[in-house]
Amino acid sequence: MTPVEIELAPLLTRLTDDELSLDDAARLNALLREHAEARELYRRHVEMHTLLEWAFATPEFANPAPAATIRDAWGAKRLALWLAATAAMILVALGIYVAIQANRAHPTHSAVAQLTAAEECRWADDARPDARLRAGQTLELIEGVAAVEFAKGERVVLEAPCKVVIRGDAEMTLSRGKVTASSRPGAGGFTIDSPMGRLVERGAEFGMQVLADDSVEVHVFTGMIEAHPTADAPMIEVKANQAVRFDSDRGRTRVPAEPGRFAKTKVDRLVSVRLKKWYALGPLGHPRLKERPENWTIPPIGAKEIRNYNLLFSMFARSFGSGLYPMDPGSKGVIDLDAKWNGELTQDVAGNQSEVKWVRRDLHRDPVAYPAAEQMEKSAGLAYFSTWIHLPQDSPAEIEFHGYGQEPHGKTRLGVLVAAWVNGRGLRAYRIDKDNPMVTHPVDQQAIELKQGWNHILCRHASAWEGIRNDVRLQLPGEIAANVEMWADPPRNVGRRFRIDGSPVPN
Amino acid sequence: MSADQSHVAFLGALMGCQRSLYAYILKLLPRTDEAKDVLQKTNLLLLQKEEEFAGVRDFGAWAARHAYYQVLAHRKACQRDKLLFDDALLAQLAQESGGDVSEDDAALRALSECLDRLSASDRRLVEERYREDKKVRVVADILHRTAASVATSLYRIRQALAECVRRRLQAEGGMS
Repeated sequence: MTPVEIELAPLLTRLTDDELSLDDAARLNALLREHAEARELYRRHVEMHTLLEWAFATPEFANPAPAATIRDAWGAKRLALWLAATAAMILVALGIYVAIQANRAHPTHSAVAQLTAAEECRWADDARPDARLRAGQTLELIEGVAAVEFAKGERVVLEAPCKVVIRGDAEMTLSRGKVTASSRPGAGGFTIDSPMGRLVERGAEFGMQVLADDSVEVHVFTGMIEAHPTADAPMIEVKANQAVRFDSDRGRTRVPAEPGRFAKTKVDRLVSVRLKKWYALGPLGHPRLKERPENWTIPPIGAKEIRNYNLLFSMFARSFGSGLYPMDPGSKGVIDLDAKWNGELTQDVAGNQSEVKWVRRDLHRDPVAYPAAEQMEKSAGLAYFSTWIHLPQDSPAEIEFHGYGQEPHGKTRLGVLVAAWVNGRGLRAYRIDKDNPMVTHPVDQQAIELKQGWNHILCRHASAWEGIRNDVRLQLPGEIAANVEMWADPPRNVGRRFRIDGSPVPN
Repeated sequence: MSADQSHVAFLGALMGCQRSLYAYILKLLPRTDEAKDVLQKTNLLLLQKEEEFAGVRDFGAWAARHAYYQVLAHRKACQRDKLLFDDALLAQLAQESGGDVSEDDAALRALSECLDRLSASDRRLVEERYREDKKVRVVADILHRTAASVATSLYRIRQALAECVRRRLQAEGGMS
């Protein structure tokens, strides 16, 4: 050892043991400042120290196994340490989770309305709202036409540019732009607040517009509404084929009714179609799944649980698209309904391996499209679902992933990743939480294009802990929804081996 | 590359260089707790900057640059007399470290092979120190040796391993 090294060695040992004294620190500083050799030795020391630290915390490393296994174990270790380092982030994430739970108990935070259709929409800040709308939520539409169904039965069509606030299950505020509203027969009592006062719908179909000067026009097509311009002004009734303008200077003025000005007819009423016939492949597991703690419940707020949770979650995130699972992008992308899987990729949380193959499922009775639903509830694993749907003509549609999400009847599922392919076009059917990048939520609703004839839909669900619920619905225009055909089996001209875009693969 | 693939590639790249990124930070900020704190902040920042990923050529250098800014921010928030390194030394260390944040897999593979070549007693020493993260004093007690002699041995072993890993990575790089 060189003289510099002799002096440096004990300092570096104390440094990595976090036992450096003030005198030591001063000496280390001086050595590093003065000697390039010391800096080189210091860098190598730190490099090797972290490498050893990283490598040694995994049990497989200490008990040598075949090289491939060791490599895998390193991957896990790396994850574990990374996750340890991000534990604080996760605390925040779990904090959010707890907040979601707390909100759910509070009725004002559950969904009071649903976004049921959106045509060529652009939203303020490019933030497309979730399908489930809560009280207090603002919708600001920059372009397009969107429809909202309130829980009490009112249907409101928004035409851009438009800004509304959802206030309750039969209540909203219109602060800018144009809406058309109609109630379910027998309903009524829906309330819209505007800059010029309040409007109460009494079984009507009507249009309402807030103009640039904050004056408000109401056009009634059928039925009747009550207008309460200000708190002390008398209420007035506006009936079918009448229209009134309210403004601050002149009070109210009768104007000609103009039903054509409102966009109501542009949006077709959409009908929800549940996809009930599937081929399901699963549960696929992972050799590391057995490390999942037993009796795993949420939300455990402790460093160890957080690490474990995230280890699993990240493992899945990483496995996605890695070609590890059949039909991952990067694998051959072929669906063979007669193929079987054995071995490590099928290993469940208990460490059991079993043969996995495609199984036909019909959901007329069973809400959970899973070959062994009882196994998957509260469990971890990955499953694929394949289905075919026939349309009489090309049509836009909304695809919805129920069973997860934050809707009142569903459960917030963290650590669930849903991916889907519609005629081979991939959808990332989950979103990363804006504030907590480590947290994902399944996406409730996405726009897709379906073609005339047979369309193939493949879903892949991975759950780190809470099981899989494949409950997929399509929102389709009414006349198309009435004429769809759904099959688990592929069309005859395709056969039992096909690509995820639905094209046949010859044997 | 689809958004999905790009997202997975980004996570893969980020997770694949965690050890290396941590080492880079630790070199500039040699207190373990502080370095882990800054690593965490850097990760959060990088996750927020995912959209830049598509245009990033050298992921390691990009990550290192952000880590360096985080180290500076951390130092700014600290009392000056608590800092181990002064500004000039920090700048020099950062410059000499370059942006050398790289994929960890190759280094860990090389380390495995190098550890296999250690003598039984050296291997035991490394295992005692790292498997349960024991301090040198504790290891010395277990092995009935003085702390100074254990520290010297560990120093020598680490430098030998570093040299061995460096050579193996070089050989691997030469082959590919």
